[in-house]
Amino acid sequence: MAALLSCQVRVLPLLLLLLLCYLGPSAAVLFSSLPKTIIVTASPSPGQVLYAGVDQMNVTWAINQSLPGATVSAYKKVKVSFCYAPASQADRGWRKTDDNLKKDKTCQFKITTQPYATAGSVAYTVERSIPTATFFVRAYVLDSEDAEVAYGQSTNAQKTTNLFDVVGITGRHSSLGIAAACFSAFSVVALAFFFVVEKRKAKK
Amino acid sequence: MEDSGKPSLHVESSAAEGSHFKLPVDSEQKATEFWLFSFAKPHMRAFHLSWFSFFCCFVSTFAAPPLLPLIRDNLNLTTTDIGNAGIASVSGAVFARLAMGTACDLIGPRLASASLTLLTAPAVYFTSVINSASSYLLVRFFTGFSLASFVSTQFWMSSMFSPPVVGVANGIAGGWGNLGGGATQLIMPLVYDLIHHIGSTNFTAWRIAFFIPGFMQTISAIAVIALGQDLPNGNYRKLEKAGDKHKDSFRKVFYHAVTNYRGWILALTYGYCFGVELTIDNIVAEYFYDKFNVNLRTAGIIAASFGLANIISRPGGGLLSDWMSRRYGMRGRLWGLWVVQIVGGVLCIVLGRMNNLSASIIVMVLFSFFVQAACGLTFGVVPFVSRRSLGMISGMTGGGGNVGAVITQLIFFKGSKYSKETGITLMGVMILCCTLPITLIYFPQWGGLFCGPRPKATAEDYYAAEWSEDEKERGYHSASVKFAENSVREGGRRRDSSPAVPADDTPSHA
Repeated sequence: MAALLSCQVRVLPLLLLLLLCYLGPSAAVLFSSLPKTIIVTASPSPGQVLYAGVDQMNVTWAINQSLPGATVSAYKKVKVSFCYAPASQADRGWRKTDDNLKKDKTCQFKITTQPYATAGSVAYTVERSIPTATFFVRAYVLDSEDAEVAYGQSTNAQKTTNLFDVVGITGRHSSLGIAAACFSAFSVVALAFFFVVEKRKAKK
Repeated sequence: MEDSGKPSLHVESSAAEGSHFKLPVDSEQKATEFWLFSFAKPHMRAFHLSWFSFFCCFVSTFAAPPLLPLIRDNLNLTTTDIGNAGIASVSGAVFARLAMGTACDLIGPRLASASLTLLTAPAVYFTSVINSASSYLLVRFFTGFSLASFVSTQFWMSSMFSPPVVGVANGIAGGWGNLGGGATQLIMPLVYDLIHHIGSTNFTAWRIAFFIPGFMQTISAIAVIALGQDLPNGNYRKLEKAGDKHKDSFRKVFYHAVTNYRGWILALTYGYCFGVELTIDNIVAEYFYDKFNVNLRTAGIIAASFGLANIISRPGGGLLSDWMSRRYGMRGRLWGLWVVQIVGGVLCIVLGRMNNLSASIIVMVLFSFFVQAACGLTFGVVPFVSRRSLGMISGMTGGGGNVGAVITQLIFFKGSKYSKETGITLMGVMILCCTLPITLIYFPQWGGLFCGPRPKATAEDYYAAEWSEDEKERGYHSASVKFAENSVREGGRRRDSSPAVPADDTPSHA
């Protein structure tokens, strides 16, 4: 009897630890620990230029059953995102890749989030908030706590192949230019006007 | 003659006007009291016009940093582009401030300030149509010129307010202007959110937002011209035509400014209080965002709180300067400046070593108080360095502030040689080193940090030395003589009890 109890006492903390491991979102998910079990294909051909707000693209993904480390039971959602290629990350600290996925800033634009299926696809019109840069597509598989458990991407591990460009909107409108010119002219003319008035007053 | 603060209200009969002022004035018609909530013509009105237009210039100059997350994606900027533009934004004003000092001496602060503000407003409006890293740099460079209106603000306050209150007037005007650097970190994201909410896409909304600071600048400049006045008795042009004010020569003004070593020392030390303030305005949001992983809005609020401390910190410096002067004269002003700036340097070193978010914020706020108070204390001393070349000395000191910002950003915050926290610590060390020269400032009539005044030296001699015998014969130096009389209190309490009567009996005293 006593031996059983002591056994339970020993096992309890271990169980708690295991439970915490599952529950703890504070445990950092490292990108290098994720298995690449999804195959992702993006429709733009390498080097193709897409215009934000205008062009469309298709992304398809499928799980590669033959690859190791595929604990499919944990897969609940698939999140597909635009990710910056290294050329667009150079000298731009706000797009830095970090192994800790909580700090990672590589993939900032979500294309879609869908419930997990062994294969899926999405047709996507490039949104107007996407900036001018070089991208690839990555899909993360999320578990029930929205933590990443697997991934796949349309490029190779060095992120050098199958990259495409997006040209973002400028945000400029001719009305802005006209308004700027009018206000500027008004400022300068007002100054000239007051100078003339000053001269006249001094003459008096 | 001057005693411990009793206002002397008298009007000097002159050809210009026998006018009546609401505030008590001295023999130069400068106000001897400072009534913050009054708009009385011309002194307090000048105060409110000048601090507000300076505030608008600061809002415009630092309008881009809080919107950078959008601008950098819209224009495809790199960290180097952003750093270069940050340096450009404060470097334009280096020479603009010198030019401004001269302009104030020659055409008066009202026209000088309004011209600058109206001529830089187009740069703000055209920020809405930039589309590349180089155009971004250019608009920030030209917008930054408007920071030179600081000089006209200080000059105007020194022309309107008497020595006993000039520290407070300069401190509040400068402080509430610098406030713009903090306020803009709140204003611009708010305006952007509003416009974005109404329906514009993000890359258009930030562009529209820039019309707000531009418009503020235009309106405040027009108010300055229409409602302001250069001197208590009128405007420069009118007074010059009436013969009441002698039109000085640029060469002489320039010569007396650059040969006064005190101006150069103050330019250096101002580079390490105000220059540090400008540097922090440019980097602090990013610092908190990257080091502590707070979101952009939180980083903006923290960044704003640094600039917002200016509501009381810089005026506090001015008040402290005037208070020290009442007890210890000019030596008190110098000691106050030295000690406060040293404490600021120490806090800067500590800030770079903080690894905890709340401790970091507390240290930053304390640091902001001391560094901004040091700015106020500096301009408690500047009005006394020269009377003839007041504008140019103010310009040199102000320009020195911007040079400090440029040098500091170039050495410590460009590229990745130093991490931001190391940069901040090293900046603190530099503050300590560059504050030492204050020990070398010496006024023969009042003393310096470690030495007392020379026995027979007088303020009249000091200020009259800026004029040649020929000019003195023609009476051009009369303003300087009056100023010297009014500065008697800079000798400290001991001097107060013995009335320091000037050798020549000027008719202006009862």
